[in-house]
Amino acid sequence: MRRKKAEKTRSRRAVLTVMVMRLYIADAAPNSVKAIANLEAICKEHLQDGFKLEIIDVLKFPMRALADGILVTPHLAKLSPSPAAMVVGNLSDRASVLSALGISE
Amino acid sequence: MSPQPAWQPPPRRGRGERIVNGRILRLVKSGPERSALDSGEIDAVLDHETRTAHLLPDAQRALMLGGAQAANSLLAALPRQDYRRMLAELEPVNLVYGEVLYEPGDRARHVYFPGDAHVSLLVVVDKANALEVGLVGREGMVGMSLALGVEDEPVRAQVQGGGTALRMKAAAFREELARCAPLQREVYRFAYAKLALARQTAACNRFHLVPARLARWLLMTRDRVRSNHFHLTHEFLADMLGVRRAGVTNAAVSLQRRRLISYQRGNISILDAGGLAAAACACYEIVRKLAR
Repeated sequence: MRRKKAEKTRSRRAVLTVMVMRLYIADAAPNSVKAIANLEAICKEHLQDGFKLEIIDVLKFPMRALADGILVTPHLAKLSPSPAAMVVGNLSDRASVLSALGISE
Repeated sequence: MSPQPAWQPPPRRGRGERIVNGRILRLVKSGPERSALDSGEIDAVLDHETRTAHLLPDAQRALMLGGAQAANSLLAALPRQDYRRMLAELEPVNLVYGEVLYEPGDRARHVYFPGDAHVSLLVVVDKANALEVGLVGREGMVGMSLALGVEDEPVRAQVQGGGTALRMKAAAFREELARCAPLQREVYRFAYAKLALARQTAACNRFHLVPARLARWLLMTRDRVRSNHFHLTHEFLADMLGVRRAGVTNAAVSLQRRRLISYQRGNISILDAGGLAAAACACYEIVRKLAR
């Protein structure tokens, strides 16, 4: 019973706090498409409307990515709430994405 | 003999994506980025030194094949089922500025269908002198000799604008050409355009002044790269026009004074395309129509 309550509180907190993320991709390349789909699924399930996601295509805006110190795409950067975190790859490893975003399943 | 890492290209100079692979591996040496790269989850790598993004071969293939019909006009003109069949044999490559695809006398191992790359065809007169007789971009293919049943390349094919292209092995191309009438039609049409361009260039080099030829050539390059900005060295331009470097300088200064172009350290910007077309010799209009 107590566990259920804790879960509810946690999930409510997740909804109330707006998570700001930036995803760097390369056009419609396979891993980029997968990363967007995987992230969308996670956001839909865990964050509902409590997130802001900016998607940056490094082929169109390489300078932006270079200025942000990005080395590879797909690269997901969690900007806030702190701590900041990053995950690289197509985000198919759900557990590591959730852990980086500070979301417990 | 020192052991070589598995990814290194063979001793013969690697072409296309092998160069990109080597560069990518040098850029991503360790950390989570390298793990993701090794597990095939990366599409592109950003090179902070050259300030460019490099696509990995698989990503490049996916993007090229998704849009190749629009990228290369010769392939775009083929019926869909023929193009689809050819896809299995087409390999995306990244061509690097200055890279030589064939030297005269080389047996062509591949034909190339440029996307946003463009390739100069040069007659090599001697060690110091070469003259451009053709320019191939997204409108055509490099390796025409194979289509005409000749094994050896008569000219040097040198990448003048880096970018993407699709390439096909010589044997697969010959096979495809023998069975696909639409490909034959398109290839022969392009062969005719190349022949006419070479004839026109020969006459142009003999009769027209260097500034007018430079203007014509810059406009031809612009049509192929679809941009008013590109990079070319004096040496390269001298080979293109068959003149000494001083001749290129004088011609470029003349066009700059008329505010048609700006040219600094090999970076060329066309400032007034209409004015440049007026300054070019009449050959530009003729070759533009030939290039479709």
